[in-house]
This record gives sequence, structure tokens and C-alpha cells, in this order.
Amino acid sequence: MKTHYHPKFGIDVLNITAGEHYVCKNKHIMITTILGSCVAACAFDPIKKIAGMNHFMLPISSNNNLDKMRYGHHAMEVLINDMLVSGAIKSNIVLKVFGGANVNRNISKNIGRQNVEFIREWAVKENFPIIAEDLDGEYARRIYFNTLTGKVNRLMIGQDKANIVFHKEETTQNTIPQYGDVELFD
Amino acid sequence: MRIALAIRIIFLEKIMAKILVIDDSRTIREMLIFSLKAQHTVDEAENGQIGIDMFKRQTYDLVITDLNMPNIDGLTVIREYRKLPQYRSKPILMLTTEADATKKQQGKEAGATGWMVKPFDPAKLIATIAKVLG
Repeated sequence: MKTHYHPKFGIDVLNITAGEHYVCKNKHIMITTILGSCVAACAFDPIKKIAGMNHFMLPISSNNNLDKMRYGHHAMEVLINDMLVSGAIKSNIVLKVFGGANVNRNISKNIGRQNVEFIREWAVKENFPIIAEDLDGEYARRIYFNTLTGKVNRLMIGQDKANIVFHKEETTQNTIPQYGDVELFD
Repeated sequence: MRIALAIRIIFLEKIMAKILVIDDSRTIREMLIFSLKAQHTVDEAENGQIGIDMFKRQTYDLVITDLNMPNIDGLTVIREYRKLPQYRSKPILMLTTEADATKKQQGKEAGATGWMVKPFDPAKLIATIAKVLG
């Protein structure tokens, strides 16, 4: 993933999009993403200075709870696993969560609200404290996650640009990975 | 006669096994139990150490373990499993988000029967279990 220098912050910025995640250790950059109905979780181990962010959306088309768990839980598990592989201690990890707006009426079944409910329930079930959140509402957001301090800057995005964000989220849903492979050894 | 045959077919299709699921994620444990409980008896362990203690105390037909867990990882769980005489020929499956070939090789060398990458397909999981138990 490529970074670019951001003059306002004076450090490099790395952009992630729907279905992606990024984890780093002792690295001072900003991870950024733009969110409509999607949710991003910023995970931080303040002791080990390990930070990671994902960006996910539950499937709009499915009413199957197992499907929803597969998408949302998988996004969270991949993020947390990469944190652990990088040396994070599970009990140190705290979350800041953002997104889940409901602006676009074309997106059925209130997907933003479902994303918000998912991340809150998941964090409780898996014992990860949410120490900050900016969820729900009617506006899209851009967030910047400082990987050394754990601080998150949030910008609200106007309605004109928000519609572009929502449209992009709808079209990128199909890129979410499907079921994993099985290999039996000899 | 037909009823007796139907019962026999149902009985043969239903391979009841005692399975232990080791994963630090409560959600994954719940999804596994939900997927398997119709056909099998499933116990759960929330970390590697509890899992090792459980399969030492009682005998399981199959263990499914995660790889990345706090303190004791899945590879250590497999090595501990294979040390025990009662599990030398019994199956143990890795269920993980990792799909890397090097990690798979480590799993194979540790004694894993197979490697399943998350997110898992419940139908494929059931078929894999039937195969390794058969």
C-alpha cells in the first residue's frame, strides 16, 4: 500500500478502501478512509504501539445472520489477528469506531444501522472496549488515524460528496472475499 | 421394512462425533457450534491452554483449533495433541485466517490433518469433518 505526504499533518498518509485493512508497529503515519454506510474500526495497543484499521460493510442482499457474521466478523478477526501477529497483547487492544451513516435511501434495509449494531455487539461479545465512537447520523465521514498516538481526526462530508461515497460503497461490495479454502494434508 | 431401512439410512448418515473447538473468538466458537451441533457433540475452549487441558482430561474424536491466539498458539496446541498416544492417529484441523504456504507447512509439520481458511463455509466444514472422521 502506498503512502503520500500530507502537509497538514506533516507525516505520511495511507488510504484504505472498503474490504481493506492495514496494521503497523512503531510507525508514525496516518491511516485514512472515507465512510458512508461502512464502518471502520481503529484498533490500538497503546503499550506496544501497534495500530490497525479496517473498513467493512455487511452484505446488503442477505438476511442470513451467518452471512452477516461472516463478513463483519471476518473483517474484525483479520484486523485483530494481524495486530496479534505484530506483537499486540489482546487485553491491551482498544477500539475507536466510525461510520454507519444512513443517507442514501437507495440502500435498503438500513445497512448503516446494521453495521453500527454489528460493531457494538461484536465488541461486547469479544471483550474489546470501544473508547471512542462517531457512528450513525446522516453524513459521510473521513477519518485519519494516527498510528503512534492512537488519536483519530474526523471530518464530516457534505451531502454532495456523500452521495459519491455511498455509490462507491455499493459498487465495491462485490470485492469482499468469499469462503476460504480447505486443504487436507497427506 | 421401509421404515427400518429409512432409520438405518438416517443413522448411517449421522456421524455423531465428539468435537472440541479451540478459538479465542467467542463469535467463531458460536458459529462453529451452530454449524455442527445438529450432527455432533461440540465442546469449546476459549484459549490454547484450556483446550489442551480439556483434550488431556477427556477423549475427543476431532479437535478444531485457531492459529493466532494469545499465549499458546494453534501450532503448540497441535504439537501437544500429537504427543498424546490416544491422539496419534486422530484428526486435528487448523481453522484460521492465515492462508500463507509457509504457515500451512508449519501446520503440516506440527501434525495437522488439514488447514481450513476463514471465513468457513459450513457445508464444506461438515464435508471435511465427515472425510477426516471416515
